[in-house]
Amino acid sequence: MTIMSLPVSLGGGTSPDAPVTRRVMARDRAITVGRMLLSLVRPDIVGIHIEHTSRAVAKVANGRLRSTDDGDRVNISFESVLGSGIKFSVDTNQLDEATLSHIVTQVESMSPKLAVDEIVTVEPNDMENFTYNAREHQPVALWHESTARGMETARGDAIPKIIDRIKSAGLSGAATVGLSERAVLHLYRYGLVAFGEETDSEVTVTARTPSNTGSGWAGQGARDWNAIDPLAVTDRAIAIAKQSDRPVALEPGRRTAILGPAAVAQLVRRTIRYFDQETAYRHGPTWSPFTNLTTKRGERQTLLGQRVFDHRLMFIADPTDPLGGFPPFYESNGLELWGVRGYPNPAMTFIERGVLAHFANKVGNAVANEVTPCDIPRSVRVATAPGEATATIDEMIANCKDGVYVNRFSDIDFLDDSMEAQNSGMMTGVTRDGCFSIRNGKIEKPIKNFRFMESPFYAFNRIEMIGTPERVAFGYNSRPTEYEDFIRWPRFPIIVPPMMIRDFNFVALADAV
Amino acid sequence: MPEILPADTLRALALAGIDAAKQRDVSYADIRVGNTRELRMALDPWGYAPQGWLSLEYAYGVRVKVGGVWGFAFGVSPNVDAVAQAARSAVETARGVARLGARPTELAPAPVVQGAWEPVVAVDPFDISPDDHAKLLGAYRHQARRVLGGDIEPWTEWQRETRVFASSDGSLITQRPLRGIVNMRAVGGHLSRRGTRLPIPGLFSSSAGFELLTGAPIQERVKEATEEAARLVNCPVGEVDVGRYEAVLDGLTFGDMISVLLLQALEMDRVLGYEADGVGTSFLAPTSEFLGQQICDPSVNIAAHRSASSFGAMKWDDEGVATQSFPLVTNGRVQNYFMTRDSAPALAEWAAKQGTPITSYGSAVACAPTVSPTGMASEVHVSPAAQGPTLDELVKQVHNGVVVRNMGRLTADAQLSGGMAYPAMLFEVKKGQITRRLLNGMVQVGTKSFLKSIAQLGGGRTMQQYLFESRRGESFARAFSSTYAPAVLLKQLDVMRLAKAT
Repeated sequence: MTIMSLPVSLGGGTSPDAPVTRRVMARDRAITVGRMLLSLVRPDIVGIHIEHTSRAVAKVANGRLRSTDDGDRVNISFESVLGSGIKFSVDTNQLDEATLSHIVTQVESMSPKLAVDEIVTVEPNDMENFTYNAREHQPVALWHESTARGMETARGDAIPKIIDRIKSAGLSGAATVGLSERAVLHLYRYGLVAFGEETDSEVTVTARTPSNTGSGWAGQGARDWNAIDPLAVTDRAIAIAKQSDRPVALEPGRRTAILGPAAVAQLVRRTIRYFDQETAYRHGPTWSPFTNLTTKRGERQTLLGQRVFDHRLMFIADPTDPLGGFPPFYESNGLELWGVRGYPNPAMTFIERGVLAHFANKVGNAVANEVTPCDIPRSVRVATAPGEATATIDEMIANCKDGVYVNRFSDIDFLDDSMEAQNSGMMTGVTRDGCFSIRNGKIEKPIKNFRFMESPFYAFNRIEMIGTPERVAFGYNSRPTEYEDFIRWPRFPIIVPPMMIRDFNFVALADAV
Repeated sequence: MPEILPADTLRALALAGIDAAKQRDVSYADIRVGNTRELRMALDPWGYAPQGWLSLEYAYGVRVKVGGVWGFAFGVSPNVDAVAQAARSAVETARGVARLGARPTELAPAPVVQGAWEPVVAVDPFDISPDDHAKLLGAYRHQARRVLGGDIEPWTEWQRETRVFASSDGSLITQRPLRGIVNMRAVGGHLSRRGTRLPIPGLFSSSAGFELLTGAPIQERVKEATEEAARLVNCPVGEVDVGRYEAVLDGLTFGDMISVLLLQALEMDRVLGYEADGVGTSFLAPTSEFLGQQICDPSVNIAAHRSASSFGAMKWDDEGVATQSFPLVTNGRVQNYFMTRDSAPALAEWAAKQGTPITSYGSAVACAPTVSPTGMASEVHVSPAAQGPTLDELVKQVHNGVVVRNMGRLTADAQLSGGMAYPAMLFEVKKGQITRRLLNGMVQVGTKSFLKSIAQLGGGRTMQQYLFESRRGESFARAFSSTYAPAVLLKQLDVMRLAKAT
């Protein structure tokens, strides 16, 4: 198979009716490659995993287009046993039969020889192997032809407008326009076939004032490129930059914070790991914010069924979420990359009116404990419970006597990360690209950035007002969570509302602009 | 373990890509084509069960410059048509966007090079059986566990690549870099909440073969490091008092802070604003305000290296420029930044003043062929003080202060103007003696004040290696680099308390 980077006509544009040339593998092709590889490997290797991503990215810097970045990544992996029995994951990015055959031969030369009677024959109805059997998956619509078509044309349409708009505003700016496709297949000998395909797109813009003291950022992410409005994103970044020029220092301390959706998403994204049940239970009394610390040693329990967040909050992961969604199957085995993938992963409410309603589980553990198996909520929607009031950001500001508006944060990282102890979920980061003081219901002035030290597990119990959720763009995110494939693009969509939180802990001023 | 394609084929593919670009009338084109093998091996945290990861990949990335715009296309299909198509695609894309208003720029000059290089390696780790990899790690764990309350985290990764570079200038280079990443930490307290972790002295990640991990002295050093980690875990504990203290940092902590706060700030992509919408900018911008200026104590000298057995050893960088050692900070003054041929001309005035050529010094790094090169650190040495003090001798100079060892990850802001960390090992010092281990202490630094606070560097025996993962986005890329640094005495360090639940 030839995987090629297609010519990109950035200047011209293509008719909406023009046929779309798909860049990643279609289902049939993926299955053919998977079955071919299954035929090459030893009979005790039961599963093949294929991921094919393609992206088209352009970066603007200092008001000019700086670079483009286009291409494909392929990853094919299977789990084998090498040496005298060491469990290995074997990865490659080659698809043709001759190369795969060569790799398999070499790998198997390092594997223990199997006597005929040692060859594993999996009994499909054997409970131990039930996860490998054929399953039905929930239909999802994550693929948008507009985005696939936009891989060729979108950047040429969007970038001149972004550059012109920033220049017209008298600012300097940087921007990223990225579109991507992804196909993924998990295929097992005993019938389980999970194929997913998705598109995604993001536009992020950073505008800076001539004094170099003001900076504004805005972004938009959507699976459908037609839903992206690059000029609206640019205008918002410009407006924030202008408003944030020449900030003044404000004393740090606990203050009411109105966090924009991008800031909330950065916090939420870090909480995802804790929805794994094993994490809450595992080794040691203080592993997770969802571990019940009030029990005695040896009686470790989780907070399942207890209220952990504000009573209005819901955390829902739904493969069919109209603003995001995700392939409707396990993409890893809980927090582990090993083990079965492709098992159905249904919509799940993890937080129901502030109550911890469900944990993610390994498939086998879930079935053994008679709970619905579901994967880590890498893609999640945070929203108010039905019937609860929402507020716009303007309404939050109008209701704030003395506070701080935060557009987004720079890198967020855990603080309480010594050894395996992570009982607080305490994080730190610095406000970035738009931070303002609020007085008597109005934005008063731009203020210098703050460093914060806060845990969402506490902060989400101090919510004053909640907005309407929206899909958030991440732009660059330098510290991916440990359980996310950090080179994964498309990203897992995070859909969150703005929030007004009292006593948010700003601990110091930061010099960064 | 196999390579996907022979070097001759890689060279033919590289030349096909360059030919295709040249036919499209580009001002410059280059390509990196590579076979990569990676072998990762670890023992599970609780026992001796090994797990491995083996990756065998081929990829290419072709970069073209048209009218001042860089076009970059990459792929994984190992045939001439695909590589040529990628080159044409990169040209068309760059040409299309150049019409939108780019400014042509010059590249720093670099001689045409044709050649090959590979490091001298005693034992190729890819010739070692998986069993032997696992047995060695198991032996070190066994050694560590013989110490009461001791353990070790055994984790190694080997990266072997055949990488071909070709350019429209006529360069054609084949290199076979090898990296051994050794992440072994002696552990006191069996991974418990208050556990301690220390590096194994003399066990460094570098461009070397399996011999990195073998030899009787390593067993002894594992034992000694584990004994020290176990001893530290039994130190009396207390809660931290918030304040500003004199401080001693071990080499690992100082290397961490230098890597995160200073070395990243010296990356020209950040300085020039290319990453303003991505990873961030730099407090060391504009260069005219910092080059030649004093940013820290005159005793501080920092230099970049890519030669011999250094971690990122290459004879030529990812733009075909011969690598060489060069000063970053001399006598406390900024001398250079990490650059590429594209960004080096930004320092033309400074180079003329210094009487040096306009060059990147070979600091361009493409962590994979699918990533466009950027200027960043590969290996950096912070010079120790000649006949300088040991860690204990530095501690003896502290009247009322703290010692930080193996701080862990420091998180910085987008301009690298400051950072915060939660040190796993923070100790109280009174009258030159460590008195207690402090729990729940945070360290917060402003970069400029941190650099100005450096009072005295430790000697050669305090040198430790910090392995730093630098990241770029978007599109996402990451690369490891190595920083060797001595222990250091700081005039002051802000210590805070980890916020409590409210």
